[in-house]
Amino acid sequence: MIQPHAADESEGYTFCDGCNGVPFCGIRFWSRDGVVTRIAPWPDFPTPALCAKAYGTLQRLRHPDRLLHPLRRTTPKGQDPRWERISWDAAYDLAAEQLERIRRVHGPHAVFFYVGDPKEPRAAVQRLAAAFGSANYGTESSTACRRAAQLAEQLTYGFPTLGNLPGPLTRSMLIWGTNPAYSGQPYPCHEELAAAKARGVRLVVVDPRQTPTTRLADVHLALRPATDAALAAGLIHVILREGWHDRAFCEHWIHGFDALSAYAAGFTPEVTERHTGVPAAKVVEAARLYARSGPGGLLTSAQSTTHNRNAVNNHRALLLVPAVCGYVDAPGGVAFPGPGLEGMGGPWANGPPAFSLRKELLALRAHRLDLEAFPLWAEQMFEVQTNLLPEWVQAGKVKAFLGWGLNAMIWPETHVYQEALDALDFVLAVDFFERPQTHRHVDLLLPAALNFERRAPFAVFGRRIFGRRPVKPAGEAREDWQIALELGTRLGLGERLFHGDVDQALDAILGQWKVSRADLAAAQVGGVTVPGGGPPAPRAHERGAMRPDGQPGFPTPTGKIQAVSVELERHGHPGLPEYRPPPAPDARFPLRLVSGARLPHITHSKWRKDAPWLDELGSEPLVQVHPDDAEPRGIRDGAPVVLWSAAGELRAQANVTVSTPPGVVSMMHGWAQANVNALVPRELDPISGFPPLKDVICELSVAGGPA
Amino acid sequence: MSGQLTFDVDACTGCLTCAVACKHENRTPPGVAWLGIEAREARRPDRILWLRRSCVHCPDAPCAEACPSGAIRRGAGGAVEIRAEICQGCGSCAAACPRRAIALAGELDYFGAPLSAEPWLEPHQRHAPGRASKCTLCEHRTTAGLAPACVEACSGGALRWQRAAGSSVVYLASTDARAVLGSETHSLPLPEGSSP
Repeated sequence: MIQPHAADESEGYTFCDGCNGVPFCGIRFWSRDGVVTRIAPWPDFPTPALCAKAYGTLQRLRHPDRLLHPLRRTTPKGQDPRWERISWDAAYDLAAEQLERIRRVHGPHAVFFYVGDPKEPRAAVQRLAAAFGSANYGTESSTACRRAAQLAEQLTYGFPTLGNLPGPLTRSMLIWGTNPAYSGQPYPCHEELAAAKARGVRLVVVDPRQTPTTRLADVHLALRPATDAALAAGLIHVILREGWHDRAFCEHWIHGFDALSAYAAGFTPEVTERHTGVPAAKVVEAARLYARSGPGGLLTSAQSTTHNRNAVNNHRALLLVPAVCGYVDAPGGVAFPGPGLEGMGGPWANGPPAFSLRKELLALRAHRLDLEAFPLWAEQMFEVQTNLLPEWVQAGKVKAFLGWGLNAMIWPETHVYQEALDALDFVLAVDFFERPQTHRHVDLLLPAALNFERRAPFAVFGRRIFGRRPVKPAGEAREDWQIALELGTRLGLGERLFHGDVDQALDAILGQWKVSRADLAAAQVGGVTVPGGGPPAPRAHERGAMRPDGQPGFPTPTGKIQAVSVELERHGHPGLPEYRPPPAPDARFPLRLVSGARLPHITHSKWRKDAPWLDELGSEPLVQVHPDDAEPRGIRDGAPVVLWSAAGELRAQANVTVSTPPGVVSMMHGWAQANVNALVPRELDPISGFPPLKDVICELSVAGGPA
Repeated sequence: MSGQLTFDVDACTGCLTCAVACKHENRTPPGVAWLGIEAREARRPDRILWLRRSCVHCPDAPCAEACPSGAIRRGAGGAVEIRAEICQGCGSCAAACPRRAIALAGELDYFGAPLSAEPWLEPHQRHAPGRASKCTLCEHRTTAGLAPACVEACSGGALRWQRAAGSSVVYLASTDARAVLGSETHSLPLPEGSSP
């Protein structure tokens, strides 16, 4: 309902952090005496609807378990913290004393700055890290989410892209490892795909599981997890063999096309079937459908194809399928996103580089802790890969860890990281709720304001900027930007951190576009559009509109799409995205385990007890198993089960379902009482350092049964 | 205001937004879900779809028959209504409902406070402890010319609302969907003239 219900109702505006800031849907809300009572979609916002998770954010606000005061532990880390409530002054004093000592004794790089979920604090925390002088800033994206795929995109196309929605010219789509009905992507994406299908666009969907997206598919390729590079090579094999590729594009614009062609020659449909489990006939059918119904688009996941030991190459391989068809930067194909709004440097969540002191951070690159293990990553990504934290702690290279939205369960073999946190001199966490699996391992826990209570950051969609109209934070909770700026100010960096004032920080960002907070408030619903150009027209590479030097070509060292990556070769890796078979199931571990497939009402572990409306939709950790695997094990739907791998075990409830294929079990991550990442070994992709979250062999049995 | 709610089985993705939007709109008590979305599966070939579980305001209304207090009746707009002021909380209606669409409220809200204690709740959001309740087809909205909250929240086109004489709920299901649902198809209120 658009009208206020009562005279004492106030209207507010904010964004949903449910899918961790992507797509950042707009929320309009109403409050009485500062109590938010109801929400609705923000009218005419770029994201036109809300999903279950957005409604859940309302319930978090008044949850009695919310953190409302700074807390200091009174016991050694790893034990029940027996929190003691302290003032903000005392909390900052404690943090500043520790950080100043560590900087003096061990140097600034021994302090690791981290932003997990939500993404909102990133710009402010980067600024704090750079001003403090530490090279070591990382995020959930650089641990296990977006960045490995992005690295693959940069090495292959020269620009980041998760693909795009089908346009009016698009005639086919390759949708690989993503289910936009339940998370991420431009929202609502599923409806766009359904509409495209209705107008005749042919859909090839690659996913081991059955999802609402695979239901739309003309061809569903249910590959075995982590065999993406083999399937991509098989598709390319058929396309080249049949002459369905864009010969001129391949010759002019793909570096290493001959090498790719020779490599793909080995992946006949039959060989591909042997590696991927996808029937040979379906490989041929999909290749025909995608290559013959051009132009074809692409939609990929931020991370599902990179949660394995061959992360970057699996993703690089699939990117070459539209490339050999000539669809990249073609009208109706895979769009070059362009630089976007001047000064944003990519998606809003990364923080505008000038504000985030990106240059200063990058100038410290020689001190990055990931430089030795993942040098190509460290060259390409401004965020540090965090998966070697335990080794750095053991070597004495990290002494303090400051985590906004930190969740220890993001890491494989989680206990190793919890022990590493315990071994640090000082760990600070900023969060909405106490999360024992993480906060048992921190010294200081600070209460963050929720999405309805923040001024920062605003939202940027293309050239449109939208501001918030929040309510006051509950209790003593403070905005996480404020916490970063105030902590820095306490460390003597007030000149660079706006003396802790969030409004001044926002002014500094908005000023570069000659926009003010008052402009955003006055426009409110419609946002402010910064004048200037829109997204580039297709064929940008032919016009010289892609490369910083203005020359024709793609923004890679060779000026071409790189089937062979010269950067990978330079770092001693194979230049082609070669297939590496994942560990094969054996008698001990006959099943493959994938984690992280989204439930529609949960993104990460924050959505459990925090929002009872959502919790009621499924409050038990479920292991999804196909009837063919459940029956021989005597597992019935709803039965208690034990799931284990070489790395660990957990207890959960069986969900016998055809949504997961035979031979594969699937589990949502982030259950504190049944943490699936504890079963994931620390065997990292050599290029990106990503953990094999969807590349584990395991076994399942009825709890109490034979194990 | 009377009207017809249509649920298109083939269009539903199981995103659960309607179920939570109903909670948000009606502030139903813990454990009382006027609207649920449930998976249905079939083997060989393996298929999944989602089914709306909610009151369909059925013509024979077994809940009204079962109620010993006469608390359930058909309202002016044709919807089946439970009058909380008459309900004795015996649960006979919930037991009689073939769709598991009726539930009894407990004493407390989600955070342990007395039910419906917040002063800002609207009349339709106030629920009596121990009393039965179910989908009202958002009468408070439809009388104001708005669609029910679940329909407004559905971005996938699986739910639609149109004004009509009487109040009804209709399920659309393709041949494929009916194959997955099997004999359950017969229990659905399919459009008049369509054979299950």
